[in-house]
Amino acid sequence: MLLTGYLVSLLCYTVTWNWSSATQVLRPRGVALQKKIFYDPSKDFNCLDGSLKIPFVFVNDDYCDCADGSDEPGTPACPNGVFHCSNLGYQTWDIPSSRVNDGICDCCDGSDEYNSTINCVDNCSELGKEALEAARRLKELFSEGSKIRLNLIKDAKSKAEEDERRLEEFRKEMEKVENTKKEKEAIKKQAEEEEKAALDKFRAEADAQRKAQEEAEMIKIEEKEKLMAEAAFKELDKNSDGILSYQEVQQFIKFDQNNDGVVDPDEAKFFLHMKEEMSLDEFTTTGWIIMKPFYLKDKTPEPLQNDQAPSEQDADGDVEVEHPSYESDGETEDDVEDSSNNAEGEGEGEDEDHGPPYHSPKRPRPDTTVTEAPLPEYDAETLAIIEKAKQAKQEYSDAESKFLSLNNQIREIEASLEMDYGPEREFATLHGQCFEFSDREYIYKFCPFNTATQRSKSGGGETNLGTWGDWTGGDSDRYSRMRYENGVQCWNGPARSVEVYLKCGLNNALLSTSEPSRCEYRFEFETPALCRPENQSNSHEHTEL
Amino acid sequence: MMISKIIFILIFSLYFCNEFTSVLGADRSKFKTCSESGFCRRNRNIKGKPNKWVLDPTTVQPSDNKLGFEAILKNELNGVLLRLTINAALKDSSVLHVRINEAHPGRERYDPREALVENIEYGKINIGKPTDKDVTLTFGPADASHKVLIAFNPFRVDIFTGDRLVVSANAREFLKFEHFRQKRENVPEEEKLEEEEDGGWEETFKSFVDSKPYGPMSVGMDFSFVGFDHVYGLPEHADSFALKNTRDETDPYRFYNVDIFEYELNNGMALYGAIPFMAAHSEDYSVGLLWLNPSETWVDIESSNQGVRGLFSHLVSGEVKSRLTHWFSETGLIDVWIMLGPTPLDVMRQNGKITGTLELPPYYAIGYHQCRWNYFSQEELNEVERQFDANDLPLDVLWLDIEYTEGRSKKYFTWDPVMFSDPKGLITNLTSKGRQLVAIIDPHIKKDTNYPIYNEAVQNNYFIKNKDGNDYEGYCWPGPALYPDFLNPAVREWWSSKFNPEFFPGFTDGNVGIWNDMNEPSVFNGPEMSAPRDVVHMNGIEHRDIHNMYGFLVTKATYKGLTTFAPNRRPFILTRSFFAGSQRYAMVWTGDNMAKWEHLKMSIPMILSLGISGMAFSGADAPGFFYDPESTELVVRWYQAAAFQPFYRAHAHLDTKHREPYLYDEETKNLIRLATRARYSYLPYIYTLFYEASINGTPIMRPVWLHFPKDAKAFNLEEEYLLGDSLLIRPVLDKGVSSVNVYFPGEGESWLGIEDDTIYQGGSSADIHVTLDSIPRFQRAGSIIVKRERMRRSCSLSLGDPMTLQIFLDAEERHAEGKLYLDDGSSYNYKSGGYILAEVIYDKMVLTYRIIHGSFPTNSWLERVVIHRISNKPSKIEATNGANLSFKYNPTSQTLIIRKPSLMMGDSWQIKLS
Repeated sequence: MLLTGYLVSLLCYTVTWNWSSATQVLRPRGVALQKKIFYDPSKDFNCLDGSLKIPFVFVNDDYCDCADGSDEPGTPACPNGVFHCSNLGYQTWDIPSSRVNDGICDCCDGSDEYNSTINCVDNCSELGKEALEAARRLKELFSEGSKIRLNLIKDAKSKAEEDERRLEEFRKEMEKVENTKKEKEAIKKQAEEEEKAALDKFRAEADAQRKAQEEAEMIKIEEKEKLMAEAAFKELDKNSDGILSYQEVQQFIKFDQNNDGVVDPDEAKFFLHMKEEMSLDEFTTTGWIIMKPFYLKDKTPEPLQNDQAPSEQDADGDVEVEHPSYESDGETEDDVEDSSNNAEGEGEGEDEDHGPPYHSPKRPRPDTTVTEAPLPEYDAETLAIIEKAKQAKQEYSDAESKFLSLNNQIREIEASLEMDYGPEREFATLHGQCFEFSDREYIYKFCPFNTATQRSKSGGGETNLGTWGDWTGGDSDRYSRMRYENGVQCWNGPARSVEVYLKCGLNNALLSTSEPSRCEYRFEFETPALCRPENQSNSHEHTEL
Repeated sequence: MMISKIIFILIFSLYFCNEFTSVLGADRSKFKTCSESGFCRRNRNIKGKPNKWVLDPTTVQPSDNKLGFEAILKNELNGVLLRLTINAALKDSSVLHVRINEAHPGRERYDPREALVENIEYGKINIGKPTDKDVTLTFGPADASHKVLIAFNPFRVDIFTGDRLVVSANAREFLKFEHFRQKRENVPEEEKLEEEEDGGWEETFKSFVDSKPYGPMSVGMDFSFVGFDHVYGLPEHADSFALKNTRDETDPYRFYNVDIFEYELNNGMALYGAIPFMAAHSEDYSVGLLWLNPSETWVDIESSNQGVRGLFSHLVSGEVKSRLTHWFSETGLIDVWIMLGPTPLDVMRQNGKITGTLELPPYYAIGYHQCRWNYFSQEELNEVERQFDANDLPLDVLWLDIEYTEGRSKKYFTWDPVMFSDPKGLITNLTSKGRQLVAIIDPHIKKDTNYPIYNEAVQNNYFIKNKDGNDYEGYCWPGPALYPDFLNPAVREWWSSKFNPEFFPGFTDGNVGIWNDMNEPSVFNGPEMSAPRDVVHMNGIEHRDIHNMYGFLVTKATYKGLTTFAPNRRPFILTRSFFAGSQRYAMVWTGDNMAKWEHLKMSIPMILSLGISGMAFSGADAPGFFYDPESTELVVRWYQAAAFQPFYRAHAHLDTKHREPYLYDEETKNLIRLATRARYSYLPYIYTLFYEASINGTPIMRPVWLHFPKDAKAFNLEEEYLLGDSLLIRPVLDKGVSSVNVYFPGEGESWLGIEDDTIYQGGSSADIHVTLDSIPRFQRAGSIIVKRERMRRSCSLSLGDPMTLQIFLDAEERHAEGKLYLDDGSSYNYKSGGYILAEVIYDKMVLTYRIIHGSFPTNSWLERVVIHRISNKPSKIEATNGANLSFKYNPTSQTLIIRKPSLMMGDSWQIKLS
């Protein structure tokens, strides 16, 4: 009772103190029990930061002396002060002393509003009861949950064991499959080589045959031309002296190139390469070529000439239709990108799944390659070799797919075994399941260790919000949060991503989704996998006496 | 080949330029340049064209009210007659009102008198005996007599105060008045008038055709500020504070309220609001000019050194620097109010008597505002509030942007039934901590027959009409939307009725502030993002006639609504669009700025321009609206700057990352906390400035020359400013700097560095060392600033807290003074005397606190007095009530701190030092 005196005299305002409580320890208002020793009324007070020494009467006198606010724990005088709520019957906490007597009840015992317009009800014991009840429920949840969790661990463990066993099996089988594959490969190689040789041989023969045919054709044409030249020479060489003179040429009006009705000497000489005359030999080799079109003006066309004329027209006509730039790949890609940008610009959430890239229909490209003449049919020997090779290839291909499929299975099991499914693989059974949650606009689908997606209720495709990234709960509680990242890019923003907050629950369920920042989603997911006994203790707080 | 290559390059560069501007600024091409506006071209090119107006001396007579002057002007070219009236407004005849209208108007021109206060008083003008060339008018009290010399041929008005010529009107003969006429058909080319061929009867911009059924009706006139080298004002533009010359340099400053996306800096492009007010200032004199016209308006500015040889040679002697201005509007009247000073404070006061002053805001409005597009649910809002408390960050107001409406439909006056299922609970949760909610209400009405407001407006014909008489339909946030005709008083009455809490739950007791955005009006698919000029308001008034007033009228209706349903609660209304006089109903912010250093810097000239033009309560979004800030340094610097601007609000675009201050690292968070606390400690002083603004029209944030009118070195300052008359603020506005240069105004003055306790001499500059926590600020010698150094979670909770006097004695250590205004911070009780206006004077060792007006019960008491520059330690300090006060004296810094005088701020008292 010695202390009562100083307490009452130090505080500026009269206080109703709850003396009936056996656990109340006297100390200046707003001071936590563990700091009581610094507030000794028989001595001057040292600011807790050591900056100043003041008479003890300055403590809680509603004037701020200490820079750290430690002289006014029980008044709002200091901007940096701390007021301690004792909250008998519930847990204690600190509030900034700026909240003392501001008309708002911050301590459950109402001790922060001792000189205030408001009457605070002490509801600490009520809160204490509620807290106990909540703690009890939590404990129950954790005890139930941890049972399920143990099963999950067991399941995961037996699955892992099963996986290990299968892995070993597969690996053994793998050796066999690999050998078969190698054998078949060798056979295939051999057969292919044989096939190639046979085909090469066959082709070479066929080529030689065709070449000879073409040459014979050419000689035939040349002979025909020569005959025509000779006939023409004979016709033009009026004096039949075996020499074609320009005067003889002048006789034929069809050689009037400028259409002035006369064949000038120069016009005539033009066909003789500007010489006065030409022998038959020279004419057939050089002169005829120039003269031929003019000579034939008044003759009936022959099939060979018909072929040549239109092909010359082609050269400055049809070919120009094709503009190479229209066909360039770059251009086509640009088109695709533009159309996707537009789609994204139109609205949030509608910016994904464009389907296959759109390619504008191309103008058919004129076929410039010469169609090869069909090869003659293979002989029986070659056919047999080809058939053999085909079979070898098929057998190899079968061996290879078997190898690949087995390899995939092995990798899958390895990946699953290496995956971080929690300290005791308690999250493993979630892999392969999906959970949905709908709000008013969207249906969210969460497939742990795989993807998170969203689709609009009004239709449209799924938007990938992210694929499995990592555990992000931090050092203290690594397995309480997951991150899914690199989802579909937002228009004018980042790639979508999801942070999944996990908590202990008896079922696996997606509880809520939100988008705290644009394109950064937050899911809440409950699972028994997180019902670890040590997690429960985190929610306990210190309770004063 | 060559051609196709050139075309390719052209296309490529065009594409690139577009990309470029979309990142760095507005799409300029959406907005008209002068050359794309017929009346701008016609008026701007008037120089050198035949144009002569002559005053007919036989028509001189007293004006209708028998107090002023009236005469007829005649155009010598086309015979058009105009009626000129000149009146002397206000009790002391300190404002000259010049008005020109058609003598026989064929179509009534819109008179924007609604922008001004009601019942403006007029003084008597004495009309002298006309001579053959001019007539002289005299008015004003004997000690401030003014004279107007009106020349007849050519018509010209020269305004003198005393013997000093201050303003000449039509000295350059730019007066243009396109009279109302009937359209002439089949006019031969050679007889066509300029206005007939220059888009006079129809004008096309982009794909928009303006039908212009009334033809060309533009008005324009020149005003020369003789002997003034500096002009200011013309908000809203993102340009330097001291206005630049535009003639022969760039387009004139433009007024056409538009919703401009990512506006550019340092030019005269039109923004969201328009106050066609300009202040001209010189070392010896200040005047102001209000061109009261709400149609599209341009202002051209140039400099002149002409004196002896030039326009004013017959009136002034010697060379004078002058600023020549040319004002022109698309339609309407010439209605000009010239504030005759003589000091800049007088000009502000005179403008305040004409266009009105702000109404005292509720106290929470000067606290910290947290906004974002958007907080999507009441849980999210509660969480934001909880985080502010958990991080001990003061917070007074939380904001709701457009997504709170039902189904995010943008049907205003509705709440989303799921995300905001309990608006009352949401609001009570805030108000129980002295906090407030502000919700957005935009004027576009969603076209939806399930929306009662839409249906009512259709039934009552409340929407703006197309020229063909159907409701005009545009496109805005809700999709297809219609626009109420706020010009119509019945529509405003209807709009205000929607604030009935029975209709819009949560508005009980006026516990929600309102944000009127998009009220230019913004029309996404309209010409220049607004309504077409030829849409029609009531009485056949075209939109072009009132365009710049639409936002003003919206806030007027909202104000009516809030005050109707909570008659004793001061409303809080934020508006983006505004006109002269808007300050009576709402405050403004500088629109959709960007989180960039340049925009931080621009916030100061923009707020200063608004402040001197009557809009004292304004601010810029911190730390910028668009984009994520590049660094926490920018965030901190912006909070620090905004903390000392009238309106302190953080806001963020939908696409940005969340950036509520508690999300930052500890250091950044702490620096933001310190900035907010610094502001809160000055709130009693800032609130007193609001009181002064409400009485005198003085800005809160003031250009240095407002209090140092003779200090020419202060005329171009725009990185530092005065908060009230006692604090010089120079926030850090640049990246990575370790010092800022500060000019200390006033020869013989001195300034106390609040952060470094150093005394700086006036008339000189100094480099002030800064660190990341610096907000350089300086207290003027001889001033007393009343502060509250205790912190609360919201400023409304601090109204009963004790106060601290911060005194910096004059150089003689004799004198200092200050003021304090106190009231309940929320009601209109102050109008019936429920307030305290006190003066605090320190003179010869006696500190006197005296209540000069009002009475108001306050629990506030004096907890501390800090006196700087006191070279002798007092032996004893005694209060009037006889108490001996304890104190601490620091001889090195010459600072005295009186501990806990415990005197009540509701009483008058004295403290004596000996």
